[in-house]
Amino acid sequence: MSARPNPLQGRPLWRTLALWMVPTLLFTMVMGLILSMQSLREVADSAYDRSLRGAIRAIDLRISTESGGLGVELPYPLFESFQATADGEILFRVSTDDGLVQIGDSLLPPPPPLTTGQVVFYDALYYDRPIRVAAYMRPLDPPLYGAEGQNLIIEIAETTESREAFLRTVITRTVLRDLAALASATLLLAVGVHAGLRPLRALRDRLDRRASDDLRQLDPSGLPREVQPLVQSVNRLVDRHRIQGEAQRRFIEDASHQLKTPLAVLRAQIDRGLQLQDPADLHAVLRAMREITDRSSRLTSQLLALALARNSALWSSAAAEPVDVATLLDGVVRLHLAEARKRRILLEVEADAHTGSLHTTEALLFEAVSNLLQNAITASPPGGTVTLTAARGVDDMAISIRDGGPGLSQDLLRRLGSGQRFNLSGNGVRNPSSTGLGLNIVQEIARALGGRLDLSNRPEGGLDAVLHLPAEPSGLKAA
Amino acid sequence: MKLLLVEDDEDLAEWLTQSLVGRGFQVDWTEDGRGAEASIAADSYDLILLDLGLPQMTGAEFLARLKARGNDTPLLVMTARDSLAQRVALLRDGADDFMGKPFAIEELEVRIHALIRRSHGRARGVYACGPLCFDQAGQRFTLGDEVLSLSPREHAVLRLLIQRPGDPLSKTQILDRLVSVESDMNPEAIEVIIHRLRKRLAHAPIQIVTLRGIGYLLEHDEDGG
Repeated sequence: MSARPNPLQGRPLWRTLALWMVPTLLFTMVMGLILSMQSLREVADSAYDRSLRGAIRAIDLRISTESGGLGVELPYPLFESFQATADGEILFRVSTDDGLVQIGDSLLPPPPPLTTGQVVFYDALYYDRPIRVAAYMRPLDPPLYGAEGQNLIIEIAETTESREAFLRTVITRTVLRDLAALASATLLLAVGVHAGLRPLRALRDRLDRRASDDLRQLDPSGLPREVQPLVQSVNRLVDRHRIQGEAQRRFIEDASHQLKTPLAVLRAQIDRGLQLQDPADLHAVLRAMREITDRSSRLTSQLLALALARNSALWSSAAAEPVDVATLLDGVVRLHLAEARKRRILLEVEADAHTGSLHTTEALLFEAVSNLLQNAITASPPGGTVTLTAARGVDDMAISIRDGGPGLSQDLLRRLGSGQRFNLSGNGVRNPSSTGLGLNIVQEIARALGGRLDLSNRPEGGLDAVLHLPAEPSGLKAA
Repeated sequence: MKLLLVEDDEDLAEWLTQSLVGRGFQVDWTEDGRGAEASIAADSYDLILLDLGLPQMTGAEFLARLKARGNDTPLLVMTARDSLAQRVALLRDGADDFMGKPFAIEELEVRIHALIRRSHGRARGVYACGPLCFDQAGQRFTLGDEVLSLSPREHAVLRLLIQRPGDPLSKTQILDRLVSVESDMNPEAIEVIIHRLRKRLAHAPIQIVTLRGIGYLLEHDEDGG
C-alpha cells in the first residue's frame, strides 16, 4: 500500500483554509489565556486579600495591653464567616517583633521585613500547604514591660485551595468557550466554502451535460469573481478549438475537392489513352497527363503550405520573433533567382538595413513573400523586372512585389478582394500552369499575421501586390 | 556516368531507373541506407540520388554519416517534404541539390549533369561559367582558348564570382572577402572593378548581371550574347 496521496485528488479548499487559520487562532487563544490567567490571579488575590486585611483590622482593634501583658480578643464570628466563604483554614499569629510574645500559630513561617503601618501580603508554605499571609506591623504603645520601641506584628493566613479552585473554574470555562469558538469557526469555514463553491459545482454539471460538439462560450455571470478569469481562460481555449475545428473542416472540404479533380482528369485521360491505337495520339494524351500531374503536385504543395500556415498561425503565436525584413527579402530572392534568370528576369530589392524588423512568424512571412514572388516571376515577360520593396509606415510595414506582367482581371481582383476562397478552375488565372491557390495562401497568411494583402493593377502595366503587416504583434485572427 | 539510386518505393525506383537508363546513365538501385553504404564501399559513383523517407536509417541520417566519413560524392536529395525550412536544413547538412517529388525527368537530368560537372571541376580545381574558366592551381582565367589578363583586383573579384555559381554577391560581401588582400577599398571601387570586368568580357557570352539591392551575378548567356 502506497501512502503517497493521489495528485489528482487535491486537498479540499476548506482544509487548506483551516490549516492556515486554526494554528493562528490556537496561538492567539493560548496567549490570551496566559495573559488572562495573570490578571485573573491578580483580581482573585486582591478580592481575597481584602478579606485578610479586614481580619487584621478586626484583630488589631481587639488587642489590649492594659493588663501589662498582651491581650487579644479573637473575633470568632468574623473568623467563622470568613472560614465559611473562603472554604479553607484560617491561621493567625500576634507577636512582638522582638519575639518575646507569641499568640496563635507559632509555626507560621517568619514574615519578611515589615514597615510599620503597612499590610504586606505574601505566599508561603505551612506544613507543605500553600498559604496566603497578610502581615501588619505597628508600634506597641505603650510597650510591654517598659521595653523601648517595641512593635506589634499581626499575621493572618488562609490556605489557598479555594482561590486556586476558583481560578481553575474560571480558566476551565474560558478554555472551553474558546475551543467551542474554534470548532464553530472551522465548521463555519467548511460550510462557507461548500456554499461558496456551489456555483462551481453547478458549472461542472453544466459542462458535463454538454454535447461533445457544443463549443459555445460559458457564461461567467453568477460565478464568484475569483473564478471568472479562469472561466474566461477556458472560454478562450474553447474558442481556439472552435476556430481551429471550423478552419480544419473547411480546409478538408476544399482540399478534398481540389485533390480529387486532377485525379478524375487523369483517370479520364488514361481511359481515353487505352482506347487509342495511333502512337501519335497516345503521345499527346501522355503529354497532357504530364501537365495534369505537374499541376496537381503544385496544388498539393500549396495545400500543405496553406494547412501549415493556418496551423502555425493558430497554434504557435509563440513562434513570433523579430524578423529582419531586408534579410528575409534577400533570402526569398536567392531562392527564386535561378528560376527568374532562366527567363532573364531581373530581380530587384529596395530595402536596406534601416528598413528594420517585424515581430512576426518568419516561416509564414517567408512563405507569403515567396508565393508573391513566384507569381510575379511566372507573370513577368522574359527579360522583365520584378521589384521587391519594403517600406516602413508609422505602425506597419508594407512589402510590395511589382511585376511587368498582364496584371489580374477585374473579375479576379474583385473575387480576391471579397475574400472568396479557392477561386480556381482556370478562369481569370494568369497562367495556365498556376493553380490559383498562391494568392489565397498569401491572403490567409496576411490575415493570420494580423495584416492584409492589397492587389492592384499598375497604370503602366503589371500587378502590384502589397503585404501590409503590423509592426507590433497583434492577437491571432481566425483563418 | 554511374549513379546510385537510394529509394524505398519500388515503383518509383523502377520507373526512374528505366528513364535514367534510357538517357544514358548507369543506375544501381538500393532500397535502404545500409544497402547504400555497402554499395558506396564496394564501388565508386559519380552521383548519389537519395530519397529522404527511407526505412530504418532516414535519408538525413545517411547524409550525415556519409559527410562525416568525408565522402564528397555529389548528392541530390529527392523528397516529398519540400518545406522551405527543410530545404535550407538539407543544404546546410551537405546535400548538393534538392528536388521536390514529383519532378520532371528532364529537370533531374539537367541537375545531375550540372552537379557531376561541378564536382569533377572542383576536384581538379577548375571553375567554369560557359567559356570562362578559372584554374585554381595556375591561378589564371581563360576565355575559350585565350588566357584572360586581369589586374590583381579584377582577378580577385572575378574569382569570387566564378566560385559561387548562381549565387549573387553584394558589394559588402565582396569587400568582406577582399579585405585581407586590399585594405583601402570602398564600395565605389567595387563598381569600378565590375565596370572594367564587363568591358573585358564584352565580346564573350558571359555577363555580370546587377541585381539592384541584391548583388552581382556571373552568368553564361546561353542564347549567345
